[in-house]
Amino acid sequence: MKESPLIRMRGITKVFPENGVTANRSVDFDVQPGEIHALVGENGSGKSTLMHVLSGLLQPDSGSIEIRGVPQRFRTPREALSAGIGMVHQHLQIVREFTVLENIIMGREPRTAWGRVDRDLAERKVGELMDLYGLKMNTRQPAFSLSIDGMQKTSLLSLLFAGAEVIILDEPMTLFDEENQDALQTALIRLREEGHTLILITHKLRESLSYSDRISIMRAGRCVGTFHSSELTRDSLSELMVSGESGRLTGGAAIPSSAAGAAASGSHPSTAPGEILLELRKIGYNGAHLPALRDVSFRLSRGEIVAVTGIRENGLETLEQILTGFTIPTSGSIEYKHLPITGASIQELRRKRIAYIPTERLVRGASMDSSVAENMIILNYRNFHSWGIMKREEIEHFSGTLGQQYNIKASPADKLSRLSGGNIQKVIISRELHTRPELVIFSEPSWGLDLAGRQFVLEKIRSIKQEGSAILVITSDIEEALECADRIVVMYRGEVSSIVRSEDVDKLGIGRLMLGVKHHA
Amino acid sequence: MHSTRPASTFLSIGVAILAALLLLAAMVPFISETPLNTLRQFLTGPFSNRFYFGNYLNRTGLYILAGLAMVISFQGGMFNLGGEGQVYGGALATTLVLLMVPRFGALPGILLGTAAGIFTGAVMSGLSGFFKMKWNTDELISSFLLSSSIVYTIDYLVSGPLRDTQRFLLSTPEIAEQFRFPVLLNPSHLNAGFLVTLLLVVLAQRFLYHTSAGYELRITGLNREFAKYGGIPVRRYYLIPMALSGAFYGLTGSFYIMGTGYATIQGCTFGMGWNGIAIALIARTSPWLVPPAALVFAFLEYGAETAIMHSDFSSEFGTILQAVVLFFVTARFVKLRTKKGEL
Repeated sequence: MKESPLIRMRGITKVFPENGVTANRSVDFDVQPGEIHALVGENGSGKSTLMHVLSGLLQPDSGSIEIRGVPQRFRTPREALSAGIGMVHQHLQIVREFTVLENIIMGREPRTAWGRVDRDLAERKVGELMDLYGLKMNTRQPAFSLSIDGMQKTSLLSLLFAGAEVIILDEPMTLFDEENQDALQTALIRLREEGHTLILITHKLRESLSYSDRISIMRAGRCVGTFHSSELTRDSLSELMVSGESGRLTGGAAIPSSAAGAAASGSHPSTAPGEILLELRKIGYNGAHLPALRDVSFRLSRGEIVAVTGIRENGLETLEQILTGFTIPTSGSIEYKHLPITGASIQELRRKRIAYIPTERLVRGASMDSSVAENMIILNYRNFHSWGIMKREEIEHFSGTLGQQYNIKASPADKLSRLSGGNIQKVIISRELHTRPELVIFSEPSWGLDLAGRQFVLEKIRSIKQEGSAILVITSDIEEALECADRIVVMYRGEVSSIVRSEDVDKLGIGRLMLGVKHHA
Repeated sequence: MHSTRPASTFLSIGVAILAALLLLAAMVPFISETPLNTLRQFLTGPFSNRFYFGNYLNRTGLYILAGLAMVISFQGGMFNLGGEGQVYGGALATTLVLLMVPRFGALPGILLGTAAGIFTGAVMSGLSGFFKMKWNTDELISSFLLSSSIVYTIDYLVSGPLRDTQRFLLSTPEIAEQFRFPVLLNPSHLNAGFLVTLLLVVLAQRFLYHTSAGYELRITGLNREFAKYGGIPVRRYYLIPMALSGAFYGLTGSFYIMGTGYATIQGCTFGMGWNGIAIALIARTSPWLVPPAALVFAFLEYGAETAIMHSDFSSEFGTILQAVVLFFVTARFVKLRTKKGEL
């Protein structure tokens, strides 16, 4: 190990005064220049907090930061950035009304002699950056039309444009399409070759083991240790992450390797397909705002899990919008329990007990400035009042109980924005599943979840199935689709390219289908 | 259940007031020949006798109503910029109703006059909400334009067709004695309307935080997409917060007529519509904090007015002090909001 670390954090302690949670307890953390360093841990283990401290977003209560041996104190992200440290956040900050280019150059616009923004120069410089790192984007696209990975690429490019040397990536696996996870590795290696130092916040074991040089593990606000990636295996890493305290997580079953996934899908009880619950007939969509759909038809029966998968921009998001009443299809029909629901309003669908967990968890799925309780009662607040007066005690009791059932580490009165990403997800999922839905539309189930969270969600999905409900999973994660679904609908360029039983295919096969290679069976 | 933390809000309002007073103390020697007298008049003026003190509280009461109007609008995610016209419209409607029904008993008359004021304000503001619901018209602009044209129309009516030529002011005739609110503190204008106003603070708070309609309104105001997703009928929450906000502004006009002015005098709304926005912002859109915010705002205004009357203090400086308080409080508000956005 080299002697002088680029970043040296010592004794970082951070307590959130709002809820008294100690997110970091005297954490020591070193990063060597030019390395790819993975920071792993479960949700709420304090890894994001530590990086928020490093990137100037949060102020530590105690502890010191040295950059190249010089003590530093970053009061704002801007100060950190001028010291060369930038962070791509999981919850992205982007000006939706600006184009990609404008977002990238914001704050550092090149000027002409007249003081105007020199767009040509900016375009050229950004183009060079995109070529250099293999991050191709349409710079004139308005930011609001970007998918999450597009937004992340934009944030990354803006940090590179600002000259960031150390780049912190929060859960970067959403940065690249499933089609080519290698692209992520390529980009990371390119970044390292160009002299950047990278810190990856992640809870994906595979990702951290294969992409990084060193791995630091956090648990319950402390840094458990730093290891060379070669010293660790998936088992030893997951053990270090979750420790021995959670019994059901020890042992190989908790590890979402593709082998374990295949075993799990093989052990699905072979429930006979029940009555048809949802049927799509030749759904088409042609509109300005979303990718088009053509002749999308499939069925979903009671007690069945169907995953719709595909690469982003191939129609998954359009299908999500149409099935949940946010967008009306231009052609075709949808039947639910043999009754037409094409073009039904969101409220009508809600009355039919269709639960929906959206991709946009924080924008659509939750109100960040409201309390946990207020987020939990959105579907059934009408049950909690008499003559229009809300029954506060019943609401407290309801949300407290739900919080306990799902092991949410917050009280009903806490503001949602103070919760960790994983706990916010649990608030949303607990609320949706509490209504005992007959149909659950679940988009990107394990998005932003850690090992335990992911396991928890997949178990939940299976238990809903056992109760005879149907689940439609919309996911761009092949492994997830294979692991949980009975059948997989693969989308390609707005069309259904294949419908397969999950035991008949493997990851590679699905990958081919997602790229438009037709299934022969 | 809500985000406001009263302790820290009180603290930041306190700091803002302190800053304004320090600025006042620092500037007074430059703007006044008799700085100590000016300062004394400013600080103690509103409390120096029953007349001033009562009038100070009376104005606070009207500001509380205007502040509540904006609290409801902001909480519903709407921006009612037409308060000025809505107060004026409410005042005129109340005046006209009470002039037309002189034979009524006191209580039915007062109720009818109040209803007319509320109705006028609610319709004026609700119209902007309706336009937004129907055609996605920006409520900020439509409410402002509508209010401005109403202000000029009423100015004309008061100086022309409705003018009481017996009076020296550009004013309608006065309402009958029986419809005037009983005075609480002679010889000031402080009247029973003030007590009703305090009751309305409690009602507004109960409505927003303890009723299902209040829940719908607040959730829609905070995150319309989430509300829609959760099955709340969001479209009507373009109309409802605007109409309620207008109703409170209209009521402000009614209470002004029945408790203070007794007639619609040209320009009698003296910026209440605008000040409602400032007060709601100082109160961080919390109904509980509206009374203290209104007390502070009216104090700065009233202190300046007494200082003007009894020294060489200029009215502009009073306005500057209000602006300083607003600046400090809202700057902090903005900072809090960005911090939330980042986390």
